[in-house]
Amino acid sequence: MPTLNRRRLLLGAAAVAAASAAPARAAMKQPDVIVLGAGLAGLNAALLLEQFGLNVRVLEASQRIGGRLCTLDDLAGHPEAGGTQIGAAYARIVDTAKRLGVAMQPNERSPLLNDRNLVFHVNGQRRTAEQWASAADNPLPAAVRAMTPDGALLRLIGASPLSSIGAWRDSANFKYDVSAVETLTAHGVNTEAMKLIDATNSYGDTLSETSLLNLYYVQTNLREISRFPGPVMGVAGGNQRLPEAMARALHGDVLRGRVVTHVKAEGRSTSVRCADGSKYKASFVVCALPLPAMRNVRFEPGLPALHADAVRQLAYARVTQLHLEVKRPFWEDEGVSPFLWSNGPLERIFPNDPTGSGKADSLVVWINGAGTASWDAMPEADLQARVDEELARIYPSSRGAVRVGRRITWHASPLAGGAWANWLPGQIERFSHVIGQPHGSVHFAGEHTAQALRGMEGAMESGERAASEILAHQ
Amino acid sequence: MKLQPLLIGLLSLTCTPLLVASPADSQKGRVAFVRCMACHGVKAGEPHKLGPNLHGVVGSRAAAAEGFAYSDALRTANITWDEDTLRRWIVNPGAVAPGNSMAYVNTLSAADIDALIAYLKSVSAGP
Repeated sequence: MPTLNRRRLLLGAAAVAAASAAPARAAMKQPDVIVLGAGLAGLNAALLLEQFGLNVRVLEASQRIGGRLCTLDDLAGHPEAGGTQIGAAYARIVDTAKRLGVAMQPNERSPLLNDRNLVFHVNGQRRTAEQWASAADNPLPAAVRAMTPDGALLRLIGASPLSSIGAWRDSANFKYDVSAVETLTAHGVNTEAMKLIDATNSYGDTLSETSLLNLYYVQTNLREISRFPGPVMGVAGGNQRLPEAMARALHGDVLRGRVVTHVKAEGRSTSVRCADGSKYKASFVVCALPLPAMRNVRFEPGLPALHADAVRQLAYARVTQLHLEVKRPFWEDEGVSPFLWSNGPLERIFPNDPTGSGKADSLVVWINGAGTASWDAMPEADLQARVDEELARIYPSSRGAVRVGRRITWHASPLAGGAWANWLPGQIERFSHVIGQPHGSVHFAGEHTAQALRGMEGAMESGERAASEILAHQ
Repeated sequence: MKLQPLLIGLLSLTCTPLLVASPADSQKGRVAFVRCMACHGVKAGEPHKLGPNLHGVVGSRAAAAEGFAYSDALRTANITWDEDTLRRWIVNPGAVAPGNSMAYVNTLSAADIDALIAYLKSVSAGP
């Protein structure tokens, strides 16, 4: 296990503090740390390590900075394909943005996204939210009949028994690491209702593959975060601007197009080899790759068996998005909102209206789980006609009103492999304590290794933990 | 060399402004503070972040920083941040003031926490 020279750390920190006005690019011999992945987790680790005077080099597989923060700059309205909503409680994101001079702006409440204006298209029939709440074919329990089935899910499991934001990893709570079906049944949720929930379930392809404990983890996060009131925010100009600014703020290199294939302990160093033949060495490595990408990396020595199982088996959410540019606001002709919940092929539509203007330049069709397969298999050339057809079933006046700007398939991307880690029943108990365990001089980050928070803030938290682990080796 | 945790404990208990942490220890405390600094400033006059500025927190009354909206749980908890209470808080805030707002999972060892408290004291002694 290499150690960092304490004197060097102290001197380095002083030097960085002294030179912070005009930092000189460190002459790159062997860096102290190589960070794999230029998403929020890896970049936050890199920034923190540099604050302590370490030399850091970041390797990014793609040509784009940001990982699962991804702003579609070339589409009208610059929609987000990745992480979208930044809560007031996202301390690390807010603080980092402030420190780097990256402007954040509140997402104003859009009348288009008002729940009361939500259009339900269920079993082939369009209804208003009010009509759906009292519809004969609405199988949801009375208390949640007005909600979308996916929204109702977190209510139907009852209040989270987790006492704190980190308690999802406590062994006392592993009794909840089972499929959510039994608890839902006990709460009077019938099979028909479960089928509807599964249509847009974000936490597993089906409820039998959805961990009750994972749902409590989500619920506890929402509960704890709600203690900090404040508007939901976005980064001015798109969320991807934040990781880009983080990468720019680094003194060390951020090398793109470096697809890592090997991470190997070599004496006091660790070497990293890439598919393009390039090879790098450092005292430490922070692996901030999502697990599906990490599955293509060979570790020498190999990861311990349970850790290797976790890397192979932890599930990732399948999410396909169709970003539609609006040529004509067809919904206005019909006096309704484009905000949609359906158990048909389009699943959900969210209008993109961050300024709350009541207008939307773009819509995102958001498809989860099993529903993604038919959209993923469709040839690009057929996509527009199929979207037009499906949209017209719900909004008859929509013909010719939208252009499919982009299909995003997170689970098909070899660098992401899914939208977020989805703990299947039993996986929190088996894997949540091993997934972030350092392996020799290799430390792990990424939202799947977060211990308290989730999503973007969980990614930042994980980078902070990985950096702390390395800094503790002094 | 590292101070034994027991020794640090003794130092902390009897701490006076004359007893200053060693540079190595203050480095350890600064590293521990990495887990805090997204939410907390520590320099005098620095604005509050998601959590309150911690300048001068050791030994102060809880929920006393001006201009910060503390949770009712902490405001009414009648706590003084002596070192033992701070230690228990950092290990598990919910055990000290149930229902408080600090969304945090402790990953620091007892020795790290001691170093962190020493660090908070040392930065509070300066400007």
